[in-house]
Amino acid sequence: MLLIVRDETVIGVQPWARHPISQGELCIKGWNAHQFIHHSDRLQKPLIKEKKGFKEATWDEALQLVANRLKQIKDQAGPDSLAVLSSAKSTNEENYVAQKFTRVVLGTNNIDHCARLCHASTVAGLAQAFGSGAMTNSIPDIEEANCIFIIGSNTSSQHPLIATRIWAAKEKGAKIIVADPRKIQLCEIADIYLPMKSGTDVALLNGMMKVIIDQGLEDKEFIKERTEGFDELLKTLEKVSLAEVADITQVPAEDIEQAAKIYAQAERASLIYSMGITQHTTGTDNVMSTANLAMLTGNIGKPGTGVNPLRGQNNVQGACDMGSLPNVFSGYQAVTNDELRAKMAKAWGVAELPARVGLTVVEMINAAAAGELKAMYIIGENPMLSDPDINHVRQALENLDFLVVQDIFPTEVTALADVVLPAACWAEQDGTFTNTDRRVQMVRKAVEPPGEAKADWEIICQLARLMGASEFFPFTSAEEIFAEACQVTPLCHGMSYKALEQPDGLQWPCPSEGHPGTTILHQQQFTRGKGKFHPIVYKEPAEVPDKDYPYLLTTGRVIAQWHTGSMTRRSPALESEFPESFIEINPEDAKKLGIKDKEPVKVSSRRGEIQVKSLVTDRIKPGIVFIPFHYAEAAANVLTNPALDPIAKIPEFKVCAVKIEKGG
Amino acid sequence: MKEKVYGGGLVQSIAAAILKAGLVDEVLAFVTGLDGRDIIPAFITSEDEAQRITTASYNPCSLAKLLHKYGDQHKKIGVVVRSCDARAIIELAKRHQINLDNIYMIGRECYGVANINEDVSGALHIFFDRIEVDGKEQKWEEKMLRPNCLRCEYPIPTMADVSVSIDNNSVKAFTEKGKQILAAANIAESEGATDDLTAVKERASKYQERDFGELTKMEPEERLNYWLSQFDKCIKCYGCRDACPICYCKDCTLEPEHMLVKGAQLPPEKVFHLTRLIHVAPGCVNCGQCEAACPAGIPISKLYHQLYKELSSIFRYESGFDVNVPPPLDTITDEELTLGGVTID
Amino acid sequence: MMRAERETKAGFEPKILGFLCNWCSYAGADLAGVSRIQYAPNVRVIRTMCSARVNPIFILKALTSGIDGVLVLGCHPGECHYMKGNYYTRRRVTAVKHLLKNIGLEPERVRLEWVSASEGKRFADTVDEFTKTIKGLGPNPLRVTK
Repeated sequence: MLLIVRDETVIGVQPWARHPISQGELCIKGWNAHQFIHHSDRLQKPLIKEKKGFKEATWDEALQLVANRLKQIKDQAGPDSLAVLSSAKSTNEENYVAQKFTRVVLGTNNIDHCARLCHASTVAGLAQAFGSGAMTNSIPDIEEANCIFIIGSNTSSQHPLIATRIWAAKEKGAKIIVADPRKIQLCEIADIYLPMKSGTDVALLNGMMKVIIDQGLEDKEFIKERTEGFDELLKTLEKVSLAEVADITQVPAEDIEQAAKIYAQAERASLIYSMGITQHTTGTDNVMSTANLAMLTGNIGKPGTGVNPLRGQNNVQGACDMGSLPNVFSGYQAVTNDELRAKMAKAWGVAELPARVGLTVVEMINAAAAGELKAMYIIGENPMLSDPDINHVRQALENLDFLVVQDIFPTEVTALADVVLPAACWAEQDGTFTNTDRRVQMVRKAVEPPGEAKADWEIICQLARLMGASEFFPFTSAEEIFAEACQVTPLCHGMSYKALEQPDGLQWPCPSEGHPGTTILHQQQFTRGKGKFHPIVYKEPAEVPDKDYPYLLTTGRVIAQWHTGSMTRRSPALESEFPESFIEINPEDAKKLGIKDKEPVKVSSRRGEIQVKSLVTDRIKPGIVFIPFHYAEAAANVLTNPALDPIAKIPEFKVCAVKIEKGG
Repeated sequence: MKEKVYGGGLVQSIAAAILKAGLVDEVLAFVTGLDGRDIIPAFITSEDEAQRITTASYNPCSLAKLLHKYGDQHKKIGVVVRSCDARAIIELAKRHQINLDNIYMIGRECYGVANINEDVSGALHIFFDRIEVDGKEQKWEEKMLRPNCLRCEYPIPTMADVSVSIDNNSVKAFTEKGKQILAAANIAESEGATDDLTAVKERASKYQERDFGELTKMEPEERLNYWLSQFDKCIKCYGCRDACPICYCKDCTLEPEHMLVKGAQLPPEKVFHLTRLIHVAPGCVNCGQCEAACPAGIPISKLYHQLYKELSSIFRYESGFDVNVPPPLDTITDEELTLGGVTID
Repeated sequence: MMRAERETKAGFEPKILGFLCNWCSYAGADLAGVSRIQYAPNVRVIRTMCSARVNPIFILKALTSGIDGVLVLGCHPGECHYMKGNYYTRRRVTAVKHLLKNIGLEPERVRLEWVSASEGKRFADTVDEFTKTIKGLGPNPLRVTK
């Protein structure tokens, strides 16, 4: 998008017609992306907490305090008692220095970010199946699909400009299959809608695969030439019965069969998924099942096909790519791999780097609660609203000896901090972001940050210097950081700001200078060589409805708000469209509970309770309710279950058990 | 025949000249961005910058809209306009949103603009009967143009102050200000621009008949279902409104606080679309920006242009030509004062 | 998919909204009342000072909310209390009817008529006739659509 600047103020946004993805179109958040930039709540000065509240401080004071305390705690309790939460909103450069800081200065791999809460299962699952944990195709080629299977993605609300491609494909005659427990807007154009029960994805996908094999619709040549592990998958599928699947998923068997046939028989079938697949204790299993389905039907490596996880945060892909993860450096190079670790140490000029895999987001919270984690440095993240089981999160963070929070606005988590550092936002700095189709793009500074706020990378570098690590953080510009990051990261080795000075950006892998980037992955072979089938057996979610908590709560988002609302609730155009939370309740359930539309309702789980206004609609299945998580005054995550996927450690935001009562 | 000039032609020199002469403080025009297809709007303040103005056949946004939304009301501003921009500016002036005294319209002929995702590498220029990419001729293809451009009857912005020909080589003045502009640029008016518009009008007629015909051919029930399913894709991004130059209200009836259209509901109630339609259609200039901005691909421009043409015929009104002719739903003619019935047509 | 099926059931009672201008048509309706003239009970009346107060959006909101017909009544041309209001009304209703036709809704669901203060019977006849027309058209197709 283009920003309109007058008198050092961003006064408006214009779509950028030449942009390869948005092509001159924006959603309501896009058109109003500027409204929060100059809000009076913007943090402008460092703050240090004293008995009476926060006191303004100078950068020197604040950073020296942080440096001292972190060093102190590191010396007393060891490097693994420290943890950093980086930001999926920050640039690639900032994520790169954040993880370098964590590893070189703090000496631990305890760095993570909010991808843990959304696509950690994608990264884990697709890495195992394909060797690369990212979207296989590009957004533009979605239009070329003859069939698009959307499972667990409310695309028109959460990725509207990707829904654009789905609508375009439909115009060209593509068949659309939607699987979702809610009747989302895309159901209007769906040829088949599978109203599945939340948390039954493996069953559904296995059911579809069974139909495909029973009817001989699998791509035998692709399986033979390009994959391994098919026999194990076959054995598992033999035990799957379509009738049982229909029972588990609450979707009629004939619809599952029809959907499977349409997907398998299409010349090019694209599978699109998002949180509905990932945010489960079986998230990794769910992802691997989607990979199974795509490989079974040879839908990999061509335009209009692929397994396409839609990532949400503006730079969550980049944050992962740059190594803000506890188990890998940038470019997904494992910290436990001695050779890679030694190589990175050499490149950085340090003797050695920590070898133990660090803590993930929810594990950090648990460790803080248990007193094992003593200090956290949180950058551009609000776990007080975005993590599951918020009451536990508060306890945990309050238990820390030291908490530093770096953000653009005061949030529920800055309130708990010992030191608050004011950061610059996206319009106030140069850098790069990477989107869901692996496209690295430039973002350019339009205005100065307010007051004394600085870019995240500047703050981290200054802190590093105060902690004696100047030689490892000599950067005077974002471009210098990017250059170093590309040097040590094979994925984007060929990139540079100069190469990025063109509207299409560059999609990784871009292994050498002059390389045009990669639009479609796994074309001749998979990143790991052959694609791997994984035999997956359906498991129930961690907490299912029972007689005490008889309803299934699933959480999600609305189009006009973003996550914890620190930006969007301060944007008048957005806040006026979706000003308050709601609970979607099916009319049958509402009748049973004696609840009418737009009434206050008390919702409780084993973890807490909230009060929220009812929205009686048949968009949601009986037995299931939906609450968006943006609203602090009715925080859905007070209720959610911090149970984790064993591999990806992603919490099960999409399923927990609640009870609902009238009033409150 | 004079040589075709792309950069460094009359549009650029006129823009530079009126800045130099102090006739205007700024010139609003499109300049080249990162590559040949990247056309971005800019408020130009220097003669050097004016040389970056591009006349390539893309229209990523309505400059009339940008002029209204972001132009400084106290400044004299030059605008490089196509006929749809010029007509929109006149419509805005009628509604007291723009002070025409402060605006100098440098018109340029246009026979259509390309779809934004047209994969053309190089400077694209669309003429009436052919297309050129970097000066190399190509066959004219209907699919390269925006649908609304195919229906357009007004390639020459006769309502601007001056109009430069499609090959950027000759210019005509239409107003006193226009003569001032040419004097400042030291350019003589010339004939030889494309004057025979019959072919254009014929083509416009043909595409109007085809596009509107598709709709009128449908039985009412089919037509209703068609529009309802189109509107069902709407995600209420307000892009159509934000892109439309005729939508000037700062306090928009469509927003939730007016209680006409409920907030927190997708797709929005159909009254969202019908309200905008009745507000805008009487003044629609067929610029097509609404349709270009819609992520859901709803053929909005067709609907608006269709209604506009009907109202235009009934009320004998053409939008964007004469600033002294008020919008049709806010006026009546003396003749109507003599009609007794309940209908006009 | 969610698409309306027209229910043209016999015996459907239309919901009709009537905008009556204060000085002529509302008075005319009053006169029908005191004269004990019977007429179809389907019209819900909203009084406006002048028929020109009827913003086309009122008509569109009514129809998109499921109202089966909208009747707009004003003074005869030349008799408007505000001199020329009804002439504006005539243009606006014309525009709305063309919009409805283009969308696929029956323009006959909107009617403009002139009724003066002394025309009690004309008011009743207009209501009766319009109600009959709407009964013939059937329920508003937007009524059953989500």
